[in-house]
Amino acid sequence: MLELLRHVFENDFMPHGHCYFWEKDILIPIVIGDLLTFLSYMTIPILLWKFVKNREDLRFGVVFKAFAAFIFFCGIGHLIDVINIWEPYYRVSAIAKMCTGLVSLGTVLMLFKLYPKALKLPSVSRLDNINDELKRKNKELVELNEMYDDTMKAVRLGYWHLDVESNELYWSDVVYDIHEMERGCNVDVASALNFYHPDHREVISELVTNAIQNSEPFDVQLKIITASQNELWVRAIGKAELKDGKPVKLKGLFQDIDDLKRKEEQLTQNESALKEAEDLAQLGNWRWSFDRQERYWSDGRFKILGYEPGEIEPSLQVALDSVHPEDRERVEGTIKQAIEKDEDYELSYRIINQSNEVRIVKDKGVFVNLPHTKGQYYAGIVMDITDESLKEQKLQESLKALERSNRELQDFAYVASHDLQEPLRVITSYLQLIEMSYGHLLDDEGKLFIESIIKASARMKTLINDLLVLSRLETKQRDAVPVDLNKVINVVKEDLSLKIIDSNAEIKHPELPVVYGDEGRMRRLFQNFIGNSIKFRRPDVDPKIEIEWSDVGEKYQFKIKDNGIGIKEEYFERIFTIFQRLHTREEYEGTGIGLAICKKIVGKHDSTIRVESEYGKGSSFIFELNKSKG
Amino acid sequence: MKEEFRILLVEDSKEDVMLTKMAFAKSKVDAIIDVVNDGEQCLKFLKKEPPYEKAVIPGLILLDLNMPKVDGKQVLERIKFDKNLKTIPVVVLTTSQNERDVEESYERFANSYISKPMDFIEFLDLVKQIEKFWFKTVKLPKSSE
Repeated sequence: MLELLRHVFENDFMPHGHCYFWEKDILIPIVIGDLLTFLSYMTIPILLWKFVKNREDLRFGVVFKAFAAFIFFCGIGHLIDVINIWEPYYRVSAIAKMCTGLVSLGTVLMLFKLYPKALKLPSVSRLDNINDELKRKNKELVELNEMYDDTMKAVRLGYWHLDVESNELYWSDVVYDIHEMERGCNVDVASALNFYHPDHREVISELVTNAIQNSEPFDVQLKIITASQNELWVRAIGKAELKDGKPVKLKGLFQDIDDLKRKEEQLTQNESALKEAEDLAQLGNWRWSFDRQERYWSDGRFKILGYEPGEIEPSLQVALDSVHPEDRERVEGTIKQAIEKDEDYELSYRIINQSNEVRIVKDKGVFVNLPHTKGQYYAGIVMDITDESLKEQKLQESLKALERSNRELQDFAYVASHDLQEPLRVITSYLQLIEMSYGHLLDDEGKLFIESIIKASARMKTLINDLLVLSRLETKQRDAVPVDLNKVINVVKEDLSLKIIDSNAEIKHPELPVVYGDEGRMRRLFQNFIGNSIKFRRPDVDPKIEIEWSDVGEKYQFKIKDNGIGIKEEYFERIFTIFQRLHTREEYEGTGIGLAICKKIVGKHDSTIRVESEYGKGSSFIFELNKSKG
Repeated sequence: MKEEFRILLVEDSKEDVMLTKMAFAKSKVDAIIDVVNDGEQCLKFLKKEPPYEKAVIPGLILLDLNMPKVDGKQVLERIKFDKNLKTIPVVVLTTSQNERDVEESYERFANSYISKPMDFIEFLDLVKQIEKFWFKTVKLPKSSE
């Protein structure tokens, strides 16, 4: 080995300086140039080596190392060249050159191999572009994140997680906001659970425990009481995160759903109110949209037919099948015609419900056209009106019966009073005949008997006459004509002249107006009032009758006032009823029909009558009469 | 000698027949009163159909309106449209105060329309007026006989 080294370092050759004839002008630049090259070639590999070492991300580092080796050997070559000028270690030089050549060849081979890969390496400008792209994406991400935050805040949705081992609880900002707490302040599990409404605290505690112990996820709607003591509905979602089958983390969402919940509650309330209302009204509503062929029946609609809500599929056919066979054709016809023409309809008909009862319903459908939203549909109600109908029917029947009996009564009153006159005339006449022919045969008692019968007959005659007048008032309608009441009063005074003279009555009135009505009836009206005033005078007081009138808009009001015996208030209504008498016949004669006639006459002129009276002092009858034909 | 007054009373009510006869008697009006009880009898009487072959045509007919079978208005019509009978004065004497009855009677040429008096005293009065008017005041054509 030593032999080999000695052989290598044999320098008994001619130094290389001889080639330059030791000419200094050649030697010096060569030596300096080679030395500089050597120094540089030593520095470059060191830098490359360091560069490769410091740049971990550098790809193809081996090439740099190869270059470093190659340059290093080149540098060594230059150094040997300088030494060889004076000391000819040519064998060392040969070995060095051989090494340089081999390293160069290796580097070249490596370069050839890496060349295509190196080509693919991104250029700096491309890297810049990529960088910009990354920045842009990053910005977008930030924006997205902000948007996400805003969204979370807007929908009041936050997230939280709980480290199972350390029992550390994290809340996002929104969770703090929902609890009305300062963001980021410390919370632990116990205080978090305490925010729940007392009614719900146990529920959430169990769910959390269950989630941790059994990895059971939860999603519940519960009430909390916030830091500011507000009651809120929240939705809490939680799920365990497992590691090696063991829960390490519980994470979830937390959302304020109070508005939603309250609206839902409101809706539920409204719905139940509607249902109650439907039940109370025995009402059902329905909707049929024909483009979607959807048919909705409310619970009430089912109940009317005797079904449980939702028991059957709602359809027109089901509805029609329930219609009473006698009404079905009519109902089907009307509804189908309405549908054809897009028209509303309203019907009443009988149905036979599931309990085989016949009920009467009112069915109303309206065609609704909302071109931009829901399209076309029918909406309607069905209402059980059986009770009302029966009542109405009974009412109508009673009304008819009443009308019939009224009419019969009127006819009867007329016929009776007319036909009663006939035998009465005969009785009276024959009595008079007896009196005339056989009067002289009778003693005083017999004469008294006959006289009593004659008086009774006369009363009956008056009664019949009054009844006739009253029934004629009902059966005969007269045209209203202008009637001068001054003339009427004069005629009445004439008719009553005997009584007026006998009783020393005084009748006072201002100029009276012209009214519209039937003259004969006006006469009867005033005659009855004035006649009554004279008849019911106080025993030792001369009757004084005053007629007053005033203009009350469309009518004239009259007041006939006397100073007679007066009427107790309890009789104010009764005196206008037919056959109502307040006195015995011995006290005051009369049929009890007079004021009934007055009331009817005033009523026939679309007016009212009333009495004011102070018992023992006098009475006033107040009534209106028409100013015009109206 | 007094002139003979012949009256045909057409009246279905026996009470009224008696009353009428009594009224004539009591008011001392001397009249011969023939009585028939319905329209059919009346027409037979006037046409002297059996059983009234011996009937004498009256100087005045007192006619009730409400009668069975042929009623007063129909009788009136037959008499007034019969050329032999139409000159006989017909006084409608009825309980009806119905205006339609009044109108329809005059339309059928009733000579007068009188409501039956409500009592006997008035009846006496009426009889006297009838006598005075129809048998004394009025000049009538000689009967066709």
